Amino acid sequence: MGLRFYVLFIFSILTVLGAMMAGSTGQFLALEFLLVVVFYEFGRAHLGKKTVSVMKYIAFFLAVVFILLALQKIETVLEGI
Amino acid sequence: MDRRLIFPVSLVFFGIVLWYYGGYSGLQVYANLGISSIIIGLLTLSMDNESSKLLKSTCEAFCEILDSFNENSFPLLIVIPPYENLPKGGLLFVSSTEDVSLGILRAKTGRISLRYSEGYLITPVPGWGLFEEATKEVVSEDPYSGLSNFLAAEGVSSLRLFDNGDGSYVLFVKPLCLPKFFDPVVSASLLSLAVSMDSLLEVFDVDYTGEFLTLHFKPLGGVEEWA
Repeated sequence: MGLRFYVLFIFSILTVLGAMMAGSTGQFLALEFLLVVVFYEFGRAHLGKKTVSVMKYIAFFLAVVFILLALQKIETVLEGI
Repeated sequence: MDRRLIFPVSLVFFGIVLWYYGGYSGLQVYANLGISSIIIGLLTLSMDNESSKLLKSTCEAFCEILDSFNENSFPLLIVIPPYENLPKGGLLFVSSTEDVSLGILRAKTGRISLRYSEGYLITPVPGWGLFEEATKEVVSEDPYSGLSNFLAAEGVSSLRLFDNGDGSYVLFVKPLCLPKFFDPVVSASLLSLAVSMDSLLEVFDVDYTGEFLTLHFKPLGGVEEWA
């Protein structure tokens, strides 16, 4: 089993912990985005090419969702004003 | 369906169900766990653990063929990093390093005449493909670290390098197939070290420690010194 397995294992543990501890889905998505970016940056030497490109897509997807959620939040705040 | 796909695909499916259930029942933890399950499933799906087995099965016969060249008639191995005459590096088997001259080498595998004796040149280095694959993406890392990380990440092999302090080094490497220097992993490791050190390497001793091959070598200086 390669080093890649252990990197993904640690990533999975942190993801599950984040999912259980986050206060809201928005918070979880932000945390997950950070996790993906950190693991992509520091773990890419140990991850295979395919895994790295999947991580890139996930980070992009999470960023889009996170921006949409933020816009929704801003809209709600503006409506309140 | 491939058995390797069962776990990641079920993880993604389970994640979708959990996410839906979490959203439907208003339980946010379930929705979060569903999303994380989908992400982990997708990443597991992208892992390819069979590459090392496949590599081993494809290179065994190749190693045997190369072994028939009988390296034993030339006890010393010199690893040559890529340069003008040998753009893909080379393994030069000689009886002594004294009459080696790189100026006469051409990119062709076979017996060659040195100044006072003969040698056997193998080019490209059998592990050239591995070396190229491992070093083409990560340009900032030195080639040895790049290859070491690549091999560990793919679960193919692992490398350990020790400095003896007297100008010589010891490399521990787990080969794919036994004929030692022709193994793609062993030759790629030696080539990456030659490129990292920017020097020719003389491998003067080889032995086995468990499933690891122990290579004792010393740098001989840059290509220009041997031209």
